[in-house]
Amino acid sequence: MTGSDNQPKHDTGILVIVDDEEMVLTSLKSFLTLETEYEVKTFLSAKEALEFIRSTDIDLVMSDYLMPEMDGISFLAEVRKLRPEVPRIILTGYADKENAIKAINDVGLYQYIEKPWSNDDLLIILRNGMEKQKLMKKLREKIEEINKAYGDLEGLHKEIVKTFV
Amino acid sequence: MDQSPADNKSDTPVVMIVDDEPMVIRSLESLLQLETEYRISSYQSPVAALDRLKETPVDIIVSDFMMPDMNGLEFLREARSLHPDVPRIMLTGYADKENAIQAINEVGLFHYVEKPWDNDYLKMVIRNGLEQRSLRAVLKRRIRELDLTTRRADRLHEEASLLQDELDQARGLLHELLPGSLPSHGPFELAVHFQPAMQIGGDFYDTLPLAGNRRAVLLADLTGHGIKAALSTALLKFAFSRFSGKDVGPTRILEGINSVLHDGLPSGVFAAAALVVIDIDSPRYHIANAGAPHPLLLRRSSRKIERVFAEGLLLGVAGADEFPDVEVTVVEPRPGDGLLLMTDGVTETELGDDRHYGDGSLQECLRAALDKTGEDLLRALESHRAAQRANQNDGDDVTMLIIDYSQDRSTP
Repeated sequence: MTGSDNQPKHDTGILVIVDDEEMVLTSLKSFLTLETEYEVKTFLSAKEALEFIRSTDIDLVMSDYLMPEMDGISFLAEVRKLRPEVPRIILTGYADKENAIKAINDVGLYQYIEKPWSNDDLLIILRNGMEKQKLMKKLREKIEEINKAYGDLEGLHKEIVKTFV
Repeated sequence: MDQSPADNKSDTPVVMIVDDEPMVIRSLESLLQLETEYRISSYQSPVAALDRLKETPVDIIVSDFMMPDMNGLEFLREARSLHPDVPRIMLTGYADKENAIQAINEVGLFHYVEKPWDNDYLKMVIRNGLEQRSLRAVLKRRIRELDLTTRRADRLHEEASLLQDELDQARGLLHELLPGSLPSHGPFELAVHFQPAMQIGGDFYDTLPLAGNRRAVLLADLTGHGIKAALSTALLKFAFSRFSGKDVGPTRILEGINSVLHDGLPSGVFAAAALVVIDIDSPRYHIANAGAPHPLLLRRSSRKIERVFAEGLLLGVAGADEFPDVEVTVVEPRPGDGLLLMTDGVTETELGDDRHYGDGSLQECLRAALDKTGEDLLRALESHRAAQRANQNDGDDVTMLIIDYSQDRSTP
């Protein structure tokens, strides 16, 4: 099935990462740049990330849980309002795991990742999230195409009826 | 052939669990039974699990890695070839983790989960796997639907172009039914303006010689458009042409056309028509009208426009027995007079906002252009009308026919 029409390419896409620790951002960015084709955008501030997301059609967002100005759950809830179909991933320490699990349903999280994470796990989770997003996008395109095709069909039909009946 | 989740007996997803340790199966079963709605199908033997997969698919597979008769990789590879769209999750001990990671691409693993697993994490992974599977299934169905729709549209386009060819032929035929030019008859000069609609409309005009140096001029508007209008126009032409050279008046001609239209077309085609018989020697007009707009007599010497009343039923509506008497109005033209016939496409020209060109605008323009005759007058009327219409293309045929009488011309 790999590479067939209904399995979109999932090793590319725009990934937004938010964490208040610069070290985390730097190491994630260099790891992902090395291992994947994603376009990685990192932000120390959730507010700045929201500005970016408002103006850019992103594919995936990953956020730290504990941040000073806005916590990860509130941030991802805002992202959901802006772009409901973008899968949202939260990084959480063991202490906050319960809250993260609750948020899965409350703010519709795609997945949580426990700190410290394994890079292998991270790669799989990102890949699956990207794939989900690409599937959703493709589905929306197809639905639009179908609607357009039905519209054309109806127009054509009307035209024929008008001319010949 | 893979089945989508919706094809299962119920919409509840089926989770297959394969692990050689009964303890693991029991704990996974109780987790999923307590905390999810999924149906569970568990196997201690991968071989038995494959037998089941050959019979019926499941929605997601969770398999152990280390098992005695077949390891998790081999099992999932087989499962993948049976049902490529079913997501595969592997449970691995820490020692086997490297193998599992290497196998991600080899067997197209959706996810691996390390033992001992975290229940919440595993639930989340299963949920995501199921969601992905159903997204893929929906997408597949949409692609199929799009394909069908596109093919239907292609077929319809083909049919439409065949029909268009036929319509073009009909249009050509219709054009041949109309006289190329209208000759003058002694002091009577005829001119016509015919503006066909985009679709085939039903306007028709023709003239015939009658016995006793007379000339019949017919302007008709048939109901309907397209092929049907083209066919009924041919029928009308035939009905009219039978009177060529005959010693008949407007009454007989309209009665004759009425019978042919009424009896000849079972589907009911009607025609509004104005008929003028010109008595060239007297000179006189015998005017009959079957539901067409009243002809206008342009008295140029006194600058008056008179409506010529003559009432009559639309042709084709009633059979010969019920067809009412045809009223004939006789008009004596004075030199310089014009007699204008038209179809309702003229006054019913749409101007937008539900307004129509109407009688008022027509008369206003006529008054301004009264000194023009023949084609010059018709051109003036047409440009006045065309300048005001809402759409570039008329929805109905528009035909105007004028008979000008001048004493200057000598009878040939």
